[in-house]
Amino acid sequence: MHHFALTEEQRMLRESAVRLFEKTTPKWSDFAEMGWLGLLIDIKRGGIGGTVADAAVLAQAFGHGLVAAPYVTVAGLCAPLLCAAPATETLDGVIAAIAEGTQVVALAAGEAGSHYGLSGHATQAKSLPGGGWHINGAKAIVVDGGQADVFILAASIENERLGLFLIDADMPGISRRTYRTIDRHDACDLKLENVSLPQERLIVEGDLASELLHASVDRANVLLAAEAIGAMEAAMALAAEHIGTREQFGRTLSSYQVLTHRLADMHVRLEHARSMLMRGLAMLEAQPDVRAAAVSATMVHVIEAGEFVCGQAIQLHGGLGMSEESQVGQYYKRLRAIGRTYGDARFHLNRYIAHASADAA
Amino acid sequence: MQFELSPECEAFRREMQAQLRAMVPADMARRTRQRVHPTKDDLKLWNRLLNEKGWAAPHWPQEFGGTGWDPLLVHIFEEECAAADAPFPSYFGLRLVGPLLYTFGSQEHRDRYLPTILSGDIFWCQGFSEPSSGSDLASLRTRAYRDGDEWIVEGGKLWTTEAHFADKMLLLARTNPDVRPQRGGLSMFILDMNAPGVTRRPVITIDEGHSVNEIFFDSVRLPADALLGEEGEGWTYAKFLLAHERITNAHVPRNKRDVRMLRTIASEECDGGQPMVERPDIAEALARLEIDVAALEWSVLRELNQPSGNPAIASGLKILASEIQQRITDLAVDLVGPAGLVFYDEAAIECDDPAGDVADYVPGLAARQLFYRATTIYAGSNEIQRGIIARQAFGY
Ligand SMILES: Cc1cc2nc3c(=O)[nH]c(=O)nc-3n(C[C@H](O)[C@H](O)[C@H](O)COP(=O)(O)OP(=O)(O)OC[C@H]3O[C@@H](n4cnc5c(N)ncnc54)[C@H](O)[C@@H]3O)c2cc1C
Repeated sequence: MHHFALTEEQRMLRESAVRLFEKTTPKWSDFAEMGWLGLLIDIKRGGIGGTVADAAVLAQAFGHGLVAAPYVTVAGLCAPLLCAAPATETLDGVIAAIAEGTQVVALAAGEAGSHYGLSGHATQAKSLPGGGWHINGAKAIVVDGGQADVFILAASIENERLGLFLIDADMPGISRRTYRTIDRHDACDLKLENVSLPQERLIVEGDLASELLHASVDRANVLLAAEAIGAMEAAMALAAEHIGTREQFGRTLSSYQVLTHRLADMHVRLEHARSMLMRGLAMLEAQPDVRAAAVSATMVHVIEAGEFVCGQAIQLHGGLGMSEESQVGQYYKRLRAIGRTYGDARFHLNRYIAHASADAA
Repeated sequence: MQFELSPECEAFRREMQAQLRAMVPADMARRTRQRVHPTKDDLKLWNRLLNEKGWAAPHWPQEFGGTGWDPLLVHIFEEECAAADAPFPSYFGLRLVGPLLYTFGSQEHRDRYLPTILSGDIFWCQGFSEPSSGSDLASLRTRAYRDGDEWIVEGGKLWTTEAHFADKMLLLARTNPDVRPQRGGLSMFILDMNAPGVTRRPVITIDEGHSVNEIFFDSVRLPADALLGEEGEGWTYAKFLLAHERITNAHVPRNKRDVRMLRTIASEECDGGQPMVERPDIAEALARLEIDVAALEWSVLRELNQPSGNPAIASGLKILASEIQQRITDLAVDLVGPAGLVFYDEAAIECDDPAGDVADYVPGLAARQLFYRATTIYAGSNEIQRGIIARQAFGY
């Protein structure tokens, strides 16, 4: 039985987020204090043990509040990924540090030319005779990686199987180039030259690693969809308010039906996108093929709706929507960024097609 | 109807292609590709280089400094300029003030200003829109009062493109509040941007670039001869310009270049080892854009060759062109994948080659996509254009 309404805990979670974002520009330590960074971490390992749906409620509030923080990356992607890997002491330490807000972790999977694909890594891990690893290669556009202390690195082991490694940003042989993204997040490129890792830094390998990576990125995609929904809601509200007050030709803009119908279309797109968010959440535990198709279906819908809703929110604002000082443009940019973090609408449409028979079944 | 491209046209194209490519300095070409907003230095230099050849304003009548080419040759010339990655010359002097002056201006104004527009010595901006008057331009509030022989201007303008480096503004102001703006209430002026009482504030747009400005007029004194044409004729002139603007804003040469660029990007960018252009969805999107640009081009050529004088046609061109511009940049960003997330500072693009180890076309793409959200807003929003078409074509 599906329950579409928020639980009592989720309502409280949302309210506490809205309250925090109204007050100030929140700090990372605030998120730790509220328990949000450990939301998807087991209680035994220092977290809260919440559900992905709980995290989605929070992500939506982040989107609505236009909070430029790597919340989804750290708490929604990396934390549950690490939790799902076979436990080691090193991993436990990193997981606890995420929950405490003392370490930021990012996923370094993409490479130049890999587009949004998650397999076929040119970065190589060589196993050393006495145990341990040597890593060589380069990673490109690691989203939210600018301030990361630790990376989950995808590399090819002996050119035959995927390995996920845990590397510290300050290890010898790693150089990082940090830059800004259009939505005021950060990203980085990494160069890895003969980076030596102890054996236990390989956290998972082979098919297991591949499935863990895909499942984790799918979860992150759905959480980004939730963030996008929050951003769309806010942008639409701003547009509605604007045309209700702005006058041209001696009438409020809301007296022009073309503009109110545009708002109506935005509303329709947003509501279907919201449904697809819920469907995506419901399918996260399905078998991999079904999950892949469902999550990509969600992303196609949400990304295209977001482009329309936030783009038209700018259009309804006229020139004002183009100003960097106005909020609608910031929502638009966040939407654009979400729509190319782990795939754009075209990528997800193709991915859906590749897995579609599974989803339709 | 008869369609054949004369051999002379082809020879002209080859000639222009060779000359223009040799004329554009390599660093200027790169900036044109990568920057959303051209620098003043590039605009000035390019204007000067064209003027040395007598090509600064091919679309003007020959007696005022035009080339005497027919509209098709002008079109070919502009296409080759775009193909050579020359900056699109500063719009306001060459496209607005020039035609306005040779059509409605006094001999004295023509003599004084047309040569400096051709040479690129004097830059202009267009001071029409105000905070409360965008689509409803006629409601503008900036006042020009008579004071003896002179005028005093109070008020302000918003969204004034290139005002931060313009020397003069083409100002639309209210001169008679007692009659309807459209019936003699508005006049056009030439305003010196360095006059006491003029202040400029940059308005940064969502691409984080600076091209538009807010301007404040605090008792700015204009000499008697600042009035352009006749007092009370401001609305007539504004309508003349807006109709012009809609055709130029079809930007066929630039769209053709950009869509060619798309094909290059699609061939170079890979998705898992496969060139993007081989992906069926990309091939289709690309084909649709090429076809739509062809449609736009032929609509423009038709209008240039046989002007309909029908505002519904010009408005239709503006709608199609602005939507194409957005779709081109949307697709371009899709093609580069996650690299479309990266923010490149325009200031960095100005100084040196920011591309580093990414392809030359990457910097500036994301910013252009963002700035082009404005194409459906400026030069008369697409909603306003649709209203014009409904009225003109159907009487509704
Ligand atoms: C990048 C940029 C550069 C510009 N450069 C210049 C310049 O150099 N000089 C200059 O003078 N101006 C310039 N403009 C201003 C531009 O002309 C105005 O932004 C435009 O006319 C829209 O006006 P507005 O921004 O006030 O929006 P509004 O008129 O407030 O419109 C807001 C929304 O309402 C819609 N709307 C308004 N009236 C109607 C109606 N009757 N029916 C249906 N829909 C309606 C619009 O389509 C729009 O979607 C520039 C604008 C931009 C964004």
